[in-house]
Amino acid sequence: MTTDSTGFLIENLAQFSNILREKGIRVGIAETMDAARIINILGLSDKNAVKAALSSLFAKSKSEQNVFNEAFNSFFAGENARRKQDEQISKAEEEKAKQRREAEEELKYDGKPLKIDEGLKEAYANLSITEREQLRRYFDFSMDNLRSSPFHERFMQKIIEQRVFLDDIPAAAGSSMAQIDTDKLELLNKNISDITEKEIPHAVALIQLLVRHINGELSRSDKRSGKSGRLDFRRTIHNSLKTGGLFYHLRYKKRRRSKKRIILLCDVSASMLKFTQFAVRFIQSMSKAAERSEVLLFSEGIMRVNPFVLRQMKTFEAYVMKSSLWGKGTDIGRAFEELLALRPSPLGGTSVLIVLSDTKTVSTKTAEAQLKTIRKKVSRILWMNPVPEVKWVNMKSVAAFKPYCNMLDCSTLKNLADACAEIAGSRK
Amino acid sequence: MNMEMENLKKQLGSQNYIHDDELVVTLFVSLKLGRPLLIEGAAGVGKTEVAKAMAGALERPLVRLQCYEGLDETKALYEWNYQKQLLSIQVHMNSEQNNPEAFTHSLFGDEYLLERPLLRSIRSHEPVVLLIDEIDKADEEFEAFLLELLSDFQVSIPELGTITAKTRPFVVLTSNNTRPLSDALKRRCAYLYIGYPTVEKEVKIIGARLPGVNDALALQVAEAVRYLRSSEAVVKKPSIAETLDWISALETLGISELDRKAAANTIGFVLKNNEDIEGILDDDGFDRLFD
Repeated sequence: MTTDSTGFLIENLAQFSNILREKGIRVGIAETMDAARIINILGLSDKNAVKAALSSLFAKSKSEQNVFNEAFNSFFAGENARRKQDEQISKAEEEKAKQRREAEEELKYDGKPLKIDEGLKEAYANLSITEREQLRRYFDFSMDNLRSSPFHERFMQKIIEQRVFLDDIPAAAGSSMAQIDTDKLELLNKNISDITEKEIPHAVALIQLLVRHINGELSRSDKRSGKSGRLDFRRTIHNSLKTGGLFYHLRYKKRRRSKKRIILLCDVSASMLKFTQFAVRFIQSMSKAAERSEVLLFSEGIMRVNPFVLRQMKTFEAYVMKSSLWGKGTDIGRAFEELLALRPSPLGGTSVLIVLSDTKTVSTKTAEAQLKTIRKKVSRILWMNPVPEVKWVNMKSVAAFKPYCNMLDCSTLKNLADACAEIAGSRK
Repeated sequence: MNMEMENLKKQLGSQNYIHDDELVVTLFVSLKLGRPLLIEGAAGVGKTEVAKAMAGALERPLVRLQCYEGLDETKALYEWNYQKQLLSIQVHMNSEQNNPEAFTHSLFGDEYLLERPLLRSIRSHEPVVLLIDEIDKADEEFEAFLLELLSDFQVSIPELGTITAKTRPFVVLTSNNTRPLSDALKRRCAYLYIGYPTVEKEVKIIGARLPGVNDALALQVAEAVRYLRSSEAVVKKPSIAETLDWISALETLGISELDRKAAANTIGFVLKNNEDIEGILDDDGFDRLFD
């Protein structure tokens, strides 16, 4: 390569590195220099080879590889490809405008177009014909009641949002994961029951961040506590040889971690489903807490759950709705009774029972008696309660269950994250 | 393609290792820049096999360090042979020779040093391929300790001083991603992600590993395994080794066509837990594979 072309290449690579940094990939000067070295060896004739080589140097995880591929394809696209991209973008824009116009035509209220978000119009237009008809029929049906309401537009917008985002959760979660805004952090302190369908993807992204943070914290605390324990005579004597038999450096045995078994008992009655979805997702995402765990769902009775359905909120929701537990009341006492009767029993001296429930049940007394029995069989009971702690004074059930468990306020994502950190910490 | 890279591709081919261009380019980059190679991917996709194939292709010995929780320097780097040192001290005390300084010095010489994989790989006179397998299972302390070795190819031993690599090993680290690795470690490595192979690639792997196997059966098994990996009913996804086990079992039983009955009778070779087996045998999609 000539000096000119080398200079041009380095300039291009530096620009490309900057783009990757903007997209969240950590690229150092060493990587850029190595990239220049390898391109000097490989040459630029084989685009795929250059792409694979740069990818191995710049992207350090599967998700970073995806970001890298996208950035590479647009940065190093040829003139034709770039024109094609521009065409595709303008075509997509036209398509979206068309969808918005169609939605405006269909969603009219008293002959006037409904004032709803532009994004929602696009989402509405993406629904199938049957689903759109269902929605319009519903609006026509409710028109008489709505006509007198000053909030009719807000109401209709809410209905469309619920319908649209019911289908959209996983896709939206994926796309927003990499680019969570800092202002979404206010979600942290929002009551979980107030999180709207639209906010769920951001909440899920937030969970990922919190989980990463919690896992990091736990690793560090492992490290700190790893050195304490009983004196290791064998290693101390071995090491004393270095100092002529003097026990200059004492060696300690590392504490053995007792592998605790976590049993999650989750209330999936209608009022609790959203909270349970968030909480289970948190607990499962924490590698340390989820190593050995069993998940049981309950409303009136209990049901063991296959771990794979817990991976996605939508799959979990569908699984619960199809199950025999859906649509029933909450009988915590009966659920505890069935838990005690399970064979082989998951309860034991190394088990930690985590109950996800708002404590509301048909019979507090029965539940209290069963909880007392369970307390004797497990090492610890943690109760994750979505009801804010300030309201506990008025709840008899909370007062009844509290003596037997450690009840944690999990009304917000932040509280939930703190509670999960405690659960993971309780394994040691 | 670059000549050296073409050569590497041929050498890998001679090891019966089925590879794609991206893998070859990444190996080439890693080799040329002297960077360790970090390979991530699900269990059983052939990460360890890359190191073995590279050792064969480069005609270098393979030194393997299997990581686990609690792995420390004494198991990974070196340890003094205390028993031998103790015996020597006793023998020396009874002998008439008396030069304590020289004797003490000799106690920390090569004769008493037990080399572990990391030290062996950097003190080797001929370059080796060093495989640090399942680094995600080791503690973070050990990961931090590796940084000195991977950036400067040198280690510090208090009694001997700093030991710099005589020859530079080609280092391959593998991770099943059970915990995120530190940015510092990742920054020092070239990165490769290996996913499950496509049906075509898996058929080629079967052909390379089990020469003489029925081609039609290989294709059927590869397609069935692809379905098992994509099925939500299967929690523990089958590895390539399990595909090979399955096809070997079918061949041993004299089965030349994979039908519903043959699959049900031998599914234990590819799925290793009861819930997965029951789930897949009740799955209509799996049944449709044999229509």
